[in-house]
Amino acid sequence: MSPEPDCARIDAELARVRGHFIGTLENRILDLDALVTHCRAAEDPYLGFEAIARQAHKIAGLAPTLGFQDLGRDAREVELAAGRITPARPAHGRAAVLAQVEKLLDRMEAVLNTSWH
Amino acid sequence: MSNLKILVVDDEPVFLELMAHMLARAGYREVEFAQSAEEALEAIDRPLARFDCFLLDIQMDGMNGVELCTRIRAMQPYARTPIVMITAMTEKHYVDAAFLAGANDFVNKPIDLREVRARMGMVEAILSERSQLSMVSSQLVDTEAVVGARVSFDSATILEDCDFLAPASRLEAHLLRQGTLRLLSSVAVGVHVENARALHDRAPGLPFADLMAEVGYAIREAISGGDRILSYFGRGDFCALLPQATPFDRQEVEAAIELKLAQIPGLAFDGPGMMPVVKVGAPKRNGLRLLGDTTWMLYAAMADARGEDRAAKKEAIAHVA
Repeated sequence: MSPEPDCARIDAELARVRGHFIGTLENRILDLDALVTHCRAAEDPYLGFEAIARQAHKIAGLAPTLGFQDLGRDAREVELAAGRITPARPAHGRAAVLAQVEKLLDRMEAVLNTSWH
Repeated sequence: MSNLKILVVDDEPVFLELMAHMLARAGYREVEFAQSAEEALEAIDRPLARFDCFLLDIQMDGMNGVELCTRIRAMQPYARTPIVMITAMTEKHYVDAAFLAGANDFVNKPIDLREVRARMGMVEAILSERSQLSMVSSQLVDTEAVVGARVSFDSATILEDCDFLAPASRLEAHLLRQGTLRLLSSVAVGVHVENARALHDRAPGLPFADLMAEVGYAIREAISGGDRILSYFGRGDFCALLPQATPFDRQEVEAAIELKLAQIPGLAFDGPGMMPVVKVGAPKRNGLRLLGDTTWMLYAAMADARGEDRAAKKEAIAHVA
């Protein structure tokens, strides 16, 4: 059995992945922001909410493992909320879901800002 | 360090980096990555490609992981290669579909190292067991009677090649992964071939396996409607997992199975005494046992079909994972 790699190396490797994730946050924020604008204005925002759910799903699947538990939790809540929007009633509950997305965006910006300091 | 060749498929590049890190820590370095199902199929189609295990994300743009699992299972070299689905808690509705498509197990997102190690340990165990079985078979004299004689009465794997049956180990793994609500809405029904031992003693090996396959097919046809999963547990015991809402009448199902078996030409070897006699048990639910062994309902259902007074213990039914 090969020896367990030393903790410093593991931490460095994970820090690199974490850094890559943080590096993607700016684009994710821009994408989500654009989707929020669309969903706010569109008569039929269903596809927009579907796209929001997919984006949130990706964040929720990554963030906790990289040490961002709160971000992962917020993303999961957005994924669930946006996923409840149906084609039959695409505007039902729109405001509440968008408020949750805004909260997620705030969290993402906070993570990004913290990483710059 | 393991030399298993693994293909990981996920459309999130950072997640693939994370998986590379986790798998490396777990001792796996022969890992390839694909960012879509289409890219995965290209990797698989390469002339010298040969993967020992697949880890597939479920939600991907374009072809999803469940469909990819189906496509991989349809390829002869990969009909039984371990496939582990990468799922999130919000994807429970996909879990059944993935299971029916042939997935062996699931790892949850967000991932942690302990779970990755556990799932890969399961993969290694499956591959090791199959490798040993393959070595034993290849050492036997190559006549059907001799090879067939090695098919044990107790073995749950004699029907592994039947595509209308799920391996018993996969049915158990599926139950172990179900959430509480899904478990409450499922029932297990056992079906026992009462004269299985006599049938086996009369014609052991492959003829017995073929006969059990016919019985399995008849059971599947008789329990119609809804998403049902049927497995063989050895010793003439079958178990079906059904949605609770499925209309079910034991006597009607028994009669339907008997009718279907009677219609198969040449099924009775030498007269009616050798026709499989099938008993269907009462549907069983886990109920208050949800917090304990969630596979209890399978064994209780099969015990009921055997007419046992007490619930069967898992140790009484030996099966190979």
